[in-house]
Amino acid sequence: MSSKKTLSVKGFLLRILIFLPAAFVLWYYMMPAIIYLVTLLSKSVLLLVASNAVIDVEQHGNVIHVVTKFAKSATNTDSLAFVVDVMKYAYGLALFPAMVLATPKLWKDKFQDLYLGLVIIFIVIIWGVTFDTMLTLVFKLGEGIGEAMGTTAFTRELIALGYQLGYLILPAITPIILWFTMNQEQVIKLAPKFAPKKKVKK
Amino acid sequence: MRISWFIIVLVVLFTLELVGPVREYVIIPFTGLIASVSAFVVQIFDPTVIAHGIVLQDSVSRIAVSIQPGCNGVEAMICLTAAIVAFPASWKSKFYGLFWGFIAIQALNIVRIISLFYLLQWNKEWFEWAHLYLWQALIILDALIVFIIWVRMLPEDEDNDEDEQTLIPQT
Repeated sequence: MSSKKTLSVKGFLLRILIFLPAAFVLWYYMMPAIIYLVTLLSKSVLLLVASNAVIDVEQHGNVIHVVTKFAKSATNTDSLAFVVDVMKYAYGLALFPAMVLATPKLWKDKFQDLYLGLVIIFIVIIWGVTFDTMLTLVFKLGEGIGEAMGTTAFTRELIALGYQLGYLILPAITPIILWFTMNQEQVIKLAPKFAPKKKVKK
Repeated sequence: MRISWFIIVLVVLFTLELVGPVREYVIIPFTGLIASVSAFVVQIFDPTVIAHGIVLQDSVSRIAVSIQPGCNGVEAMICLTAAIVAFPASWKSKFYGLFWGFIAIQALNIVRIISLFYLLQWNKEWFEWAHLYLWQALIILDALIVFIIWVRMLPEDEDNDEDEQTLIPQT
């Protein structure tokens, strides 16, 4: 992914100041469509990994409802459902495009970066939603549900770890690592000792 | 740029961050320190604010924010550390980068905490929005901007032990 255009600190800062607010506004208004896609994908994953607990995943505005097999109480046989906030895993969908657009590259390369980056960020979102759901099922809904799902002490530890990764770490670092990996050649050339030498006219 | 170093440092530091004793003896006390510094800064213009542990509270309205893991700038610091360690520069330059990077990230983080504290008193919906989405993105972006400024400011003639020709990726 090479480009003849060079990165400058001032130019990048200026462009990110323009593109980031615009990207956040677009991200906010596109949220129903994003959550529709996340609902479809997370439903497939959750029905695969927690088929003994999850019946359905539904979109309700900017959140998703996870419907479980468990009853609300002994007297109320309605299914127990809970809310998962997808947006807290999805801000990379605003940050990453803003960073790509702020980087001086050919449009062809920018679209290529966006395509690959957004696919990876969607995987991170599904990771976050899946472990958020598992954590709620196993630790928050009440005693006995974790056992009913067949979890062990080890798998419960893995769920807690997966949740921490999916909430604290991956949504924040994924856009940065993607941008860094895609633009490392340009970043290296920012350093004076690696910068292309200017030709001196005689 | 050694991307393998970047990934190794990142994995090691994030693993350490999630280890129970590190969390108990390093992360939580550090988070408490951030709360105290935030309270100190706020008290300059608002003496009704107090800090206890990781909680920043208005002593009149009783409204409080708790500074949790994820709001202490540690993740951004880890990313910056990995990037600086992996970059071909002298250890002296790396040390300066880490020191000023820490200052820049934590300065913005204190702005984040104070702004969220007042935003909560004004409007809970805006607080949630800024807390969960906007500031998360800004803090990690801060780490990236600090890094590229550090790279730009590296001296031209400094020595390092690495073979420069192998560091620029061939595309």
